[in-house]
Amino acid sequence: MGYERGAPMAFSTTKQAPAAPAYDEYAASAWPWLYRCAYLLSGNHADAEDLAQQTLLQAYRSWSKVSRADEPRAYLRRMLTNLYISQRRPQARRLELLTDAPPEPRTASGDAGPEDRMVLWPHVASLPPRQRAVIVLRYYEQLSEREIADALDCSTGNVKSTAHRALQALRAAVGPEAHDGEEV
Amino acid sequence: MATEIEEMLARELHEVAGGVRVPPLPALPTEAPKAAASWVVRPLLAAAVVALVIGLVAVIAGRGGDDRPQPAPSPSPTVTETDVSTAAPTVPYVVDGRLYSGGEQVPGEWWGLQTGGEVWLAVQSDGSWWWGRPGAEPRRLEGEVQQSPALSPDGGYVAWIDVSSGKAVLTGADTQPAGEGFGDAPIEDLPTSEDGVGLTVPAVTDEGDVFVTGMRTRLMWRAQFEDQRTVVDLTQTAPAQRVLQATVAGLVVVDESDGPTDSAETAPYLATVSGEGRIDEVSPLPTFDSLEVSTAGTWLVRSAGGTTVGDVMGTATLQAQPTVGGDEVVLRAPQGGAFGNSSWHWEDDDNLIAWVTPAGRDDGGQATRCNVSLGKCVLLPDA
Repeated sequence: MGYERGAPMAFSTTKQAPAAPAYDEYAASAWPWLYRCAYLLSGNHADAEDLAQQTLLQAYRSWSKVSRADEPRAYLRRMLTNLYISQRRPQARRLELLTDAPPEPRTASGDAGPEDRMVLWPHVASLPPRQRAVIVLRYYEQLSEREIADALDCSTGNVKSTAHRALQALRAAVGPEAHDGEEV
Repeated sequence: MATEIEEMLARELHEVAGGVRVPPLPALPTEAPKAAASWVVRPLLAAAVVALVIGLVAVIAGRGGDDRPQPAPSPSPTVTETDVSTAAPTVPYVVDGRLYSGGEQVPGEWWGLQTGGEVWLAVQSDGSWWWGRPGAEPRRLEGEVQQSPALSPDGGYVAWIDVSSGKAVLTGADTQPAGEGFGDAPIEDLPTSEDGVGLTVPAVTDEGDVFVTGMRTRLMWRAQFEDQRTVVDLTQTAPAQRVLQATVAGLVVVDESDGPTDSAETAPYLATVSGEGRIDEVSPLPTFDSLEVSTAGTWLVRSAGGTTVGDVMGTATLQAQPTVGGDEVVLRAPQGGAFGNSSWHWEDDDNLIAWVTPAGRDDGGQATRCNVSLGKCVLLPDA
C-alpha cells in the first residue's frame, strides 16, 4: 500500500576500513572522468571540484561496498548525481565558511573560450538540476534510460519525461534555427 | 533515432568535457573516514560555529537584561523517552533484512515491506514476493511478478501483474483466510510495458478495486464487484489523473494535466473513486517521496520530496501531520540515527514502527516506535 519513488532500497550499515591502496588507485584513475562529469553538471570549476571530492569521500566511506560492486563507476555516478541534485535543491541550506581566497571566476562568462561559441551548452546551465543530470547522463555518458533510472533511483518513465522536458526547454531556448525540420 | 538537437548536445557536451583542465587529485583520506581530508571538515566546522553562535545568542537573550533567574526552559519533546511504549510491535516490521511478524522472525532476508494490519507483503533476496500473517505459512505470489505488487490498506487483498507467460496478466488474491485467487482480469492484450516502461499495480483498495498504470494505460479493475468483469478506463473517466497508492483515507492521486510528474515534484491529493471511475479530490497532500497513512486515517507520515532518493540510504527525520491538514510534527530518529528508507509503518493511529540505525552503530540497527502525539521516538529491545 505504500508508494515509494524508485525501487525498495535497503541501507547497509557495514563499515570497514577500506583497503587504502585499492581505493587510492581507483580514485586516481577515476578522478579525471569524475571531475569532467562534475563540471558538466555544475558548470564551473569550483563546484565541480567540491562535487567530485565529496563523491570520492562518499566512495571512501562506502569503499567496501563500492569496491565489490560489479561496476564501481556506476556506483560513483550515482553518488555524484545524487550529491549534485541534493545540493542544488532550492530548499537545501548549505553552510559555507568565508575564506580569504577570492572566488574562482566562472568560465561560462568572461574569457571567450570554446564554450562561449556553443549553442546549447549555455542553456544547459539554466536547466533544473534533475533535467541537467539526465541530459549529461544521456548525451555525455551515453547511458540508456534504464541506466539513468538506476543512477537517479527513479523509474524509466520519469527519465523519459524529464528528458522530454529538458529537450523542450532547450529547443525553446535556442529557437527554431537550431533544429529546423525535426520533430518536437 | 537522435534528432539534430540531440546530436548537437552530445557534440557540445563532449567538447566541453574534453576542454576541461582537470586539476590534480586532491589529498585522499588515509585514516578512518572521520579523519578524512580537510575539505570535508569545512561543513562540520561551519556547523559547529553556527551552533556556538546560536548558543551564545540564546544565552545572551535569555538573560533578559537583569540578574533574575529565568524560568527553566520548556521540556524538549525529545528529552524524555519514557512515555512511548517499548513493548514489542504488533505489526510486521523489518530490521536489516529480518522480518518479524507476530513476535516471530520469518525465515529469509526481506525487503520492500508493505503492511496492512497484521498482513505483510515483502520481497526476498531472490526477487520472489510473499505475503503472510502471524500463525500462517507465508505464501508466494504466483507467476513472475512485474515490479512491486500492491497490498490493500487493510491487508485483505494483494494484486500484481504476472508476466510468466510472456504476456501481462493482471491478477490478485484474497489474503483472508486462505489466499483464494482473483483469477485473471478480463483485459485483452494488456501490454507488459509502454515506451519501455513496465506497467505497475500502484494500488488495490479494501473493496478489491485494482489500479493499473502505464505510460498511457490507466485502468481500474473491479475485481470483487459482481461478476468480476468490470474494467474502467480511467483515461476516459479521470483524464490525466494517476493513482499512486491506496490508503485508509482514500486514494493518493497526482494530476498530470501539465505532463508526467510524480509526488516529489507535484503535490498530490487524497481522493475517492466511484464505481464508474470518477475521481474526486478530498483534500490536498504535501509532496513526498514516501507516504504512509495511519490505521484510522487520522495521520500521515512522509519523507519529504527529494529527501530519500538516489544514493540516500535513510533520513534523520520524518514529517507527520493530520491528513485533513494541520501542524506538522517532526519525528527524529533516536540517537542521531536515520530511519531506513520506507521502513516506517503505522501500528495504530498514534504509533509508527520503523527501522533505525543510530549514529555510529554498525550492527544493523534496531526497531523504533514513534508516537506522533508525543513527538517522540524510542528504540525497541531486539526481538
